[in-house]
Amino acid sequence: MTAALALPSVTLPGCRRRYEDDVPDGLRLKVLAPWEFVVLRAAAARILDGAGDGPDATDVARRADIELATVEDANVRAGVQEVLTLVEYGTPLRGYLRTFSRLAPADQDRVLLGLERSRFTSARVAFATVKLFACYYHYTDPATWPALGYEGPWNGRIPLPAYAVDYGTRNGAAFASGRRPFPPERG
Amino acid sequence: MPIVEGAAVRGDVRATADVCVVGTGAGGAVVAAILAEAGARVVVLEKGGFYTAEDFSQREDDMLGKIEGGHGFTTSTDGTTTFTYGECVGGSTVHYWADTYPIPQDRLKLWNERFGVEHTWQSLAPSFARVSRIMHVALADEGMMNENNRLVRAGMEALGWQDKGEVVTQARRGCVGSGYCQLGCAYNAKMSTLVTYVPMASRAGAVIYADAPAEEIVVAGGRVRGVRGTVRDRATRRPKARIEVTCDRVVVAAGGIGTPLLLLRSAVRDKSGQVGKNFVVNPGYAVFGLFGRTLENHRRPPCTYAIKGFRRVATGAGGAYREGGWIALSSHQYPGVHSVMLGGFGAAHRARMLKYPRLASLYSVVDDEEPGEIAADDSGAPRITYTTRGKDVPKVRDFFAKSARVLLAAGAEEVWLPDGETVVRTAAEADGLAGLPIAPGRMLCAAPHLLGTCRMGSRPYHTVVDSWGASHSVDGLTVADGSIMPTSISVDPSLTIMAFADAIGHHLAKRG
Repeated sequence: MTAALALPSVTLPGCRRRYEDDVPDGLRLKVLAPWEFVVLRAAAARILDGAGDGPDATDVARRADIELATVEDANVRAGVQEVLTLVEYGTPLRGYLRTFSRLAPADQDRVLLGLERSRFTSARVAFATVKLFACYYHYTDPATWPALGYEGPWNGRIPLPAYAVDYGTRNGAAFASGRRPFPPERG
Repeated sequence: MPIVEGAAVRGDVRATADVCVVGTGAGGAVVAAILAEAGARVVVLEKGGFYTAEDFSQREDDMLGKIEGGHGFTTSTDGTTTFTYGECVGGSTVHYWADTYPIPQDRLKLWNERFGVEHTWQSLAPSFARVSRIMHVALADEGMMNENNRLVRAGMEALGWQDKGEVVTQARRGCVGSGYCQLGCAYNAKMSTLVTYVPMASRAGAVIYADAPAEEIVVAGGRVRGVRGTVRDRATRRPKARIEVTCDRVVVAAGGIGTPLLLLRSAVRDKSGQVGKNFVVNPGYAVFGLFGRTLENHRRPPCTYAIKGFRRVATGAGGAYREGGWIALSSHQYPGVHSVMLGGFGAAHRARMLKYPRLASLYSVVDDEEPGEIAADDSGAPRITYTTRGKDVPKVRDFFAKSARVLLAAGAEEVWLPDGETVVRTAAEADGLAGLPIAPGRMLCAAPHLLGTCRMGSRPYHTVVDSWGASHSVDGLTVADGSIMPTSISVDPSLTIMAFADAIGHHLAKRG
């Protein structure tokens, strides 16, 4: 289904939208095409609506681009492209003639809700994927934690050395991880 | 230099060994340690990097790319199921929660009867005893139990279901209670193979190459001759050198996805045609209970109390499904994963996230019977077919219904299902979940226990390996990880995989 919706190639040349113009100046994308970045950012903006402090939609789309660049399985990359194609160009299925990234926020919300609750698995997965990128890279940022009542890692705040583990040698040199011996066994 | 990382490799590597072990998780590290201590020349290839306590930052976004297979992005081809598995020295034992269970006796009996597996509870007892000692397996004490676990226990007691729940044994020593078990223990207190069998193997002289994915098992004349792979730059994951190990014995322990993929890519002969098939995962779904006060949930071990009394399916008249087929783990998640598990988006999602400190949760281990399959595409990458379906759907509904009952009985104001829509406030509403539509992809389904893809048994045309992991089709090839389990184990499989690996390791050591 998503292949049939891959419409960029049939857009009239005179009407061809330049997604590149919507990418922030100076941003060099690693793997996402400009149109993919713009669509992911648009979806993230709605998913994170009202989310408060922390990375915004542009930030999470940039982070997704960086993380996807480290994934070796080309199928993951292809899957993300399919998902974003469905989000951007599947809007006629919801009664809209404009692409997702050009819809008004309220209409984008309706499209996302339709995807989330669709009877088609591919649509539900498309929603889940863009939500994953938006939410995960937002809520893993420390700036979001105070509002959640999450104190964050102990590392750097609560000094507790690790128990020592003797690995023999690492890359030719004697090596042990941790600094204190294990406590005696109980019982 | 027993542990060699990609950064230290300057050129192509050629090694000769008695045994090459692929993988350092619950299976590979155990076999490598046993064989190295028995005097064998052992070379180990691990696809992932070597990280130790000092590297475990307790940050979700940082650790995902370091210790999770496929950077945490491995899903079924239809996108409905996310597979979680380790890809680092120590494998999945680095991220597992360390709640520890031996295989239920009924499941082993099933394997005896249906697949001709030779091991019995009695014959495996010495292996379970050895790995339990090394992994410091002991019953969780009250001090380890956080509020989430205590609430679930209270809910079970309030329902009169106390005989269906139990305190869970843990693989820990000197736990400090940070709660970051899933991101790698920064205190070396959680017992993974990273802090037990890997150093044992290393100190016994096994040479462990990290950042070194095996790409092909070399077979000639019907028997194994070695393994070829690459050494990668860890940051870019690009190959920087070739590695070739010449040996007469290869033990593959690359996990439920990695092992069949390696065998399929290598075009290793397989009489059974079962490599990659029978893929079961114990689908995991979450249920959240909202309480009227702040709870202390993301500290201390995630699961010290579990609902195990519904593990086996109970049937009614005519054999129709009645209940069960799952266990439920008290669970907690850090904000990132939590935000993905909670349904909905926008302002409604945000409102739910702001209640994060008031949430308790339960997480399913569904004893799945509807298997998927792993194939290799033209590039050698996995194509994984799996979705929750058929017989497993009513089990998920039953888990939702009973978990909601437990959380309500514990005092939850309401219970949220992960579809972002369903809210349960009464026991009657909970019971009504028996008719809930389960639409794959609508709720996050995380699959943590990847089993079955090289199943063991006595019949060469029905199973891939025998009861000692030896290939029915190729001399010198052994498999020793979760992929040899013929079915779901119905509980966390880590300890069972280690016990089988122990049995296989000692079997190989005796043969010389």
